[in-house]
Amino acid sequence: MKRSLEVLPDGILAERAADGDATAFEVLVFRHGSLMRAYAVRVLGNQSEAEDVVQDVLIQAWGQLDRLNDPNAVKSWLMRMVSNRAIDRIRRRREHSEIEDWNAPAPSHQSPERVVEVRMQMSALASVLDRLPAMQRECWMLKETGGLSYVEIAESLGVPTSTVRGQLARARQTVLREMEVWR
Amino acid sequence: MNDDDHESMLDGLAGADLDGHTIDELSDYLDSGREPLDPDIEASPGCQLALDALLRLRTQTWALLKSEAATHSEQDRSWMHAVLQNISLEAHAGRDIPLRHPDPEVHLRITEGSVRTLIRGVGDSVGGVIVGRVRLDGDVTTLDAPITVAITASAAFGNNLERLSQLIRDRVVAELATHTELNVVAVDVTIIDIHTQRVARPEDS
Amino acid sequence: MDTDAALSQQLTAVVAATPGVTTVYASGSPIRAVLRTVADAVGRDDDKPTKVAVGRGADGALTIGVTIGVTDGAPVPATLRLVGDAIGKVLATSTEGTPIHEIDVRVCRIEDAAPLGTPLTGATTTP
Repeated sequence: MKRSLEVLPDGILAERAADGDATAFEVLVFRHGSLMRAYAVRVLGNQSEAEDVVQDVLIQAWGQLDRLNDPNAVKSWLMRMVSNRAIDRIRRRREHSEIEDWNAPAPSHQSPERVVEVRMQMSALASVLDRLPAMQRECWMLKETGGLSYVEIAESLGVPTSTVRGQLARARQTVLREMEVWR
Repeated sequence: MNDDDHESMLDGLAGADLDGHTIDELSDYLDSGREPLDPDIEASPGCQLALDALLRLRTQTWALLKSEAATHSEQDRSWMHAVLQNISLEAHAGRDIPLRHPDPEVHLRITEGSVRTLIRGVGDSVGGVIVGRVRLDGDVTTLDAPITVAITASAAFGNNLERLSQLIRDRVVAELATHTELNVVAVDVTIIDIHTQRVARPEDS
Repeated sequence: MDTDAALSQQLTAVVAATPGVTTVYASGSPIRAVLRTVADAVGRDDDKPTKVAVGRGADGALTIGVTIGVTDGAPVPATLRLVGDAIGKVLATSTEGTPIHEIDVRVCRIEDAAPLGTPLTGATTTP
């Protein structure tokens, strides 16, 4: 008799999906996909690239689930794959663009959907992060949320570790100051 | 805390009220789980405040993402469906399991993946059981080779785990006899009661 | 249409019509997941699909290959043999004299004969 798989914990779903249970995989996609996307948006700075990245990750993950050592950790495994793919995109972007001012603040115009989202969000942190210069925001998200190390970020982006540290120091200063966390 | 203190706290981000430490350093200290314990940092009120702030920011960032995810989840369905339409069944097809046919030119095969699905379905049909992983150990690609089926499963209630194992075993043997020509010599069931965490290990079948 | 394509079309139709067969997959393409409870109907894409692979060796001997989904409502070996026989019959009548190198029938999916309950995620509409 079939029953709803939606109540099952990640570990069991990941095991079943690793064996080819597409329905279990579907539940995992619906359970974690939105968070993966929200994270990717903040790392990459736009929605369409974020969705591309997350789709690629999930399609790839389906084939690689049987290589996951700890099925219970499938969520962080998926998030890590998002970090890795997002970083690849960022590096390729940088390789193709002209010299940019890494310290330039984010453009003052935002896409309509971004503005709506921020309004709906009504979060001070959201707007602070949005206004960070791109590289500071990327490093912040990858380190603080993605849990990547300075070295990992630096190597993947092809920049010195000291650069990553510098970007993160600046991001922290800004966020701490603007969030008025002392209050 | 009055406004003057607040101002100096903010300035302290640069160094003074952190007793010589930097935010960068404190972040690393947090990452290491505050190990080894640094008495100097622990004794500094400025550092403690900064550590709390950094931790709170991390939590808030997660909360922000989760809330954005929830807001966007309805819209996300469409690209999620696209993912699901594009995953390949072949990814978990596994080995080809042969069946006999009188004509030597005719080759009949079932994929390992489809047999795993069969076994999973049968295990799930036992009340209170949900199957986790299914393994076919042995050379399934050779007719008559001895095969062991290894199943892990979870049981929802304080059931008799041995009885459930036997039920699973019996049903799996029957199902494989109907739908395959595998020479199944053993069905090993490891079943765990998810409430009590009690585990029943495989016995010889 | 060349003879091999015509043969493929004929074989696809015959295999799809075999009792117990739920799906005939297009050979050579990655097999996509089908998650809805309604199985992929043969012929959804076009009227007369050519999903069975037909190959010829240097000696003209035929190699036939097909990947299918079947129901668990009948013993899978029985369904497979019916498919093998059905293909054999078509070849005997349509390709008289042509030597047969191999007929390959592969089940990659065994579907629940009586799926119960509503779609898991509440997404009820088909794309």
